[in-house]
Amino acid sequence: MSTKRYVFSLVLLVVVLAIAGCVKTAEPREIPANAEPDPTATPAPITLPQDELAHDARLEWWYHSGHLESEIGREFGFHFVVFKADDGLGEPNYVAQLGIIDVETGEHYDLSRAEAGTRKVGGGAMTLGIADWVYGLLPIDGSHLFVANSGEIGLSLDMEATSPVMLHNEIGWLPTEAGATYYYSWPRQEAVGQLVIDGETINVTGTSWFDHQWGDFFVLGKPAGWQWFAAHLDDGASLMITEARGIDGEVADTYGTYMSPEGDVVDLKQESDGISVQAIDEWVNQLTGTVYPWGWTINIESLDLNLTITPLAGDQEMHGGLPAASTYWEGKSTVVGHQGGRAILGDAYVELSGYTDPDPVEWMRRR
Amino acid sequence: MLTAIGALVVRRKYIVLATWAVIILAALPFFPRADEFLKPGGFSNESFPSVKARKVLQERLELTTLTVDFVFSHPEWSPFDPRFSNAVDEAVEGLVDYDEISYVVTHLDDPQRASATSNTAHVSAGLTLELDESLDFLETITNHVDPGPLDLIITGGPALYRDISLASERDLRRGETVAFPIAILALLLVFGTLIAAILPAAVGGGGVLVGVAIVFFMSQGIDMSVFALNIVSLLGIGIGIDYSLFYTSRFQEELRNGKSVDDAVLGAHSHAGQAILFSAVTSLIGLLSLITFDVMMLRSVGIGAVAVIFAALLAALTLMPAILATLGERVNRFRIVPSWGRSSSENGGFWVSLSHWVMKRPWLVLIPTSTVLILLAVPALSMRLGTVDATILPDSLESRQGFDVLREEFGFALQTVIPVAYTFGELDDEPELISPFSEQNLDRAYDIGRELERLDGVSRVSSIVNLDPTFGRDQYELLYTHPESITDVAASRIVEESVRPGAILFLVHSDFHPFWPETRQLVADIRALIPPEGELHVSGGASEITDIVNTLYGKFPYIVAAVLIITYLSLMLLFRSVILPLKAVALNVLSILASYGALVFVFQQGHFSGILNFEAMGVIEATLPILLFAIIFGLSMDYEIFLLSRVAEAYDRTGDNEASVAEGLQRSGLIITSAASILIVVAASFILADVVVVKAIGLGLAIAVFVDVTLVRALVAPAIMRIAGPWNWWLPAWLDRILPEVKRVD
Repeated sequence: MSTKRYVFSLVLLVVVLAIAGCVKTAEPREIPANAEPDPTATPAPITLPQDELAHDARLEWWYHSGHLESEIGREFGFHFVVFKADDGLGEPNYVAQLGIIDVETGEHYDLSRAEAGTRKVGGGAMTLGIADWVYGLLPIDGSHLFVANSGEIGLSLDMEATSPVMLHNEIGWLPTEAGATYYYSWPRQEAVGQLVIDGETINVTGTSWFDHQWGDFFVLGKPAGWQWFAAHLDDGASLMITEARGIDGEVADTYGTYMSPEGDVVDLKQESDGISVQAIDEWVNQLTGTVYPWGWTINIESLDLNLTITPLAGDQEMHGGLPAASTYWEGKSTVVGHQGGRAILGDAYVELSGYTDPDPVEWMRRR
Repeated sequence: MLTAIGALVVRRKYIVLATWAVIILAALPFFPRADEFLKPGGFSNESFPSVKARKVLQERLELTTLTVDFVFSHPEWSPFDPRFSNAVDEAVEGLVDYDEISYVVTHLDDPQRASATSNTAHVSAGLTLELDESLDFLETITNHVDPGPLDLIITGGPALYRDISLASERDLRRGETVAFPIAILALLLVFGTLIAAILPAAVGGGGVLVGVAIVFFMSQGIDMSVFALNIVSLLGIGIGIDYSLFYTSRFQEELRNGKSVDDAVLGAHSHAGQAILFSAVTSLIGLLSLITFDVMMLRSVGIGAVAVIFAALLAALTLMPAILATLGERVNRFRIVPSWGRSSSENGGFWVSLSHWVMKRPWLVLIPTSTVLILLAVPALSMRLGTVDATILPDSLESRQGFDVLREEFGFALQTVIPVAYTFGELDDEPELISPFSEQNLDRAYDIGRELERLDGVSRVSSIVNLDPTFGRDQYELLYTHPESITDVAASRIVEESVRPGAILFLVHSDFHPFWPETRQLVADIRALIPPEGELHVSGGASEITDIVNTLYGKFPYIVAAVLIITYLSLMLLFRSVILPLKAVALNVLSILASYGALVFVFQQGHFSGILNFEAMGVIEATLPILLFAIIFGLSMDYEIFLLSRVAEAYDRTGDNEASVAEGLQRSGLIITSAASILIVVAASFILADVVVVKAIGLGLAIAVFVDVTLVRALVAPAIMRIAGPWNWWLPAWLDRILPEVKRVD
């Protein structure tokens, strides 16, 4: 009998222990101080066309800004961008924006779309369906297309690189205090497509500038920000200049990249190359009170290059689909200047970021 | 004592009948209103750390977890199609103006709310109300939201709350509609006569009526779960009929033995009454244990079950003898089923042959049957405890359909996200001290965020200081120098949603399923963290599950032990044996383990889900094993007591162990089988329930009782009693001297 009693007791003990095993506990412990971040990975060389596609990065964007002309010589400027933001918690969010400036009328159109997740990726190409817009990166260096129509207004373009790739900061990698970003451009792309203005379809051709950035970084708002210039010079050269402001609103760095008509790339630094950017005037958005610089002179001593850049219209703000603090100005401009005593003309696109006062978040406003 | 009560009832039978008539008439109006004050849910508790943490989230971070979710879809338009977006905008326009709504988020605010695979988007409206108060408001906003060309399904907390009540109510009615007629049919087969068959059902029904009325009144004073009503009803019908059945059959037996009506009533009262009393006591021991748990669902089932068993006991010991004394021989009137079936069994037949067959080869029977029982119990080893979600509802209900869309399209309830609130300072402190963006507070938050990222099972932490693992504290200080002007989409959203003065929210994401034990360990690991200043509050579904399991199962082993010991002592008192109660308790545990195994096999692993029409929960609802233990232990013990009482009666008379086992089986065989069949039918009728928890209780109970009356009672019990021989009745002399005398009636 004692054996049986032992067996019964054992069974009961097993049941009790099995049940007790459901309860999970852990020893209390203090959280250690001075935690360190993960090290930033050594930058990998940019490989094309693979790196044209989307990356596993917090932020990524593809920018196209260009100058178009109709068959009868009517001029337009356009800016098409796709932003990708990935907080690592699900599908990335995509926002696409299209800005069109009709040079003749000075009218600026600003449209946007948003979508979570990519619709189609594969075959070495990437096609993003962002609501009813489509953005495609073809498996050929510097070949892109987009279809961004919205009823009465729209633009569809095929773009193909006509210049070599421009890696910024020599290897296409820019470490900043707000994180690091890969950055390269196709400074000149031939663009062919159709523009829809007020329901009228117009065949257009022109030249576009393409920027691609991605990385684990963040963007600071006013008073931090930047002025960015992308110029197509009439001698066939291309120039990118960025003036970055820090969190105190002061200029923190000015840098750029120059591509000669022969395709040679020159990395430009503020100190060593003597870069200076001066605003000439201001433009005030009467609705919001936002004050933007208006017109610039850019001097680059090492290139003996002096340029004056003038916007073709004041209101070229882009604000659709992004937080108010992200509103920026992206405007078609003209370029006049000289290099080594030789007169230079050209077209440019200018981006002004960090000028808009934000809408404070609701709980801060309440306080 | 029992005999005296029986004699008093017989003498005053008309007064007793009149009293019961008054009681039943008084209880009748409250029967249909029984669920008026009952509440859905009740699987959690206000004192749980997770529930307290939820309140901290609400108060310090303005996070409301109660939402109404609108699922919009269209056969052709994608969510970002302007026609779709405009329709959503128009549908929810004005919602945020209600005081009861704190926010409205559409897929245009948060693109993740648009499905990547179908033309579906969901909108959430956060409520400032408590769940209890939200039902009327649900109707208001349901009328407000006009989906226009879109299809709309409404789900979320209030809708699920409403549908659980509806489904439980429907289950109850369906269960009763099915159970009562089948029980009466079974009684007809047992007794053969109409009066004798209807009598237990009527008396059992009277007990249920009174028990449910008690629940109605108690639910006005204390929180009681709507599930209590289903279980109380199930137990009331089953146990009430069982008691009355035992009583009636003993009365008939006494009459057949030539006793007068009054003597037959007294005889039944002495024998069956004592067994009923003891079985009620053992049932109450198990069910009373439920009251000790700090979970409303269990506590209210305990209270309700005690009420209904008490009513059933009272009805069996007072109403039944009064009716039988009045009816007398007329109890055998209106024969419907021929009597051959009964007499062959009562005269020996199957049960005697079976007991002799078993006792000739006890080891040969014991080993395989024990093996079968153990095999039945084996799946219980992989039991995974969890809590209920909308999958307990049938997919015919709108709130469940909406939940399914959210789960399939947006991963709801499949991903573990543990909200952890870090609070520091008081709201009236200096602004700098409680600013989440001060250097000191960002530093502390950074350390907490990094530590959370390092815990086992954490796939990602989301907070203002966990935007990217490569960002250091300097970068966060830079980013939040002007927090109001952050242009980064993810950071600005996180600033909007997850910080307030004196509070920072961390969302800890894990690849572990919310119900996995590993997730509970993760919750425990987070709770173990001590921040340099302030407090961490761990909330969310996984934390609530952890609290439920920890609370229930921290206490359960002690309650199991207490119930086993008290039952053992009660049986030792009744049978004056050390071994018989041990056998009874051990076999009961085996029956319960077998039913646990069946629960896991069916409801966790999903076998027979098609036939039984449910979606496998993947877990066993954490209260179920406890609930089943409490119910089954008492019920199984009923049969054991009825059997052993008969065996003991024979042993007291003959002193022959084998003969008394055979006689006990023979005399109780038909009646226990009948009683068990009725209980199985009643329990099985709850398998038709829409609410999966009720279905599981029904199946678990039916299987336990089936195993108990077939394998355990017919095979294992006689085999063990044969092996134990005279030791069955062994009681040390010293124990015999100190044990109080409980006279077994012979």
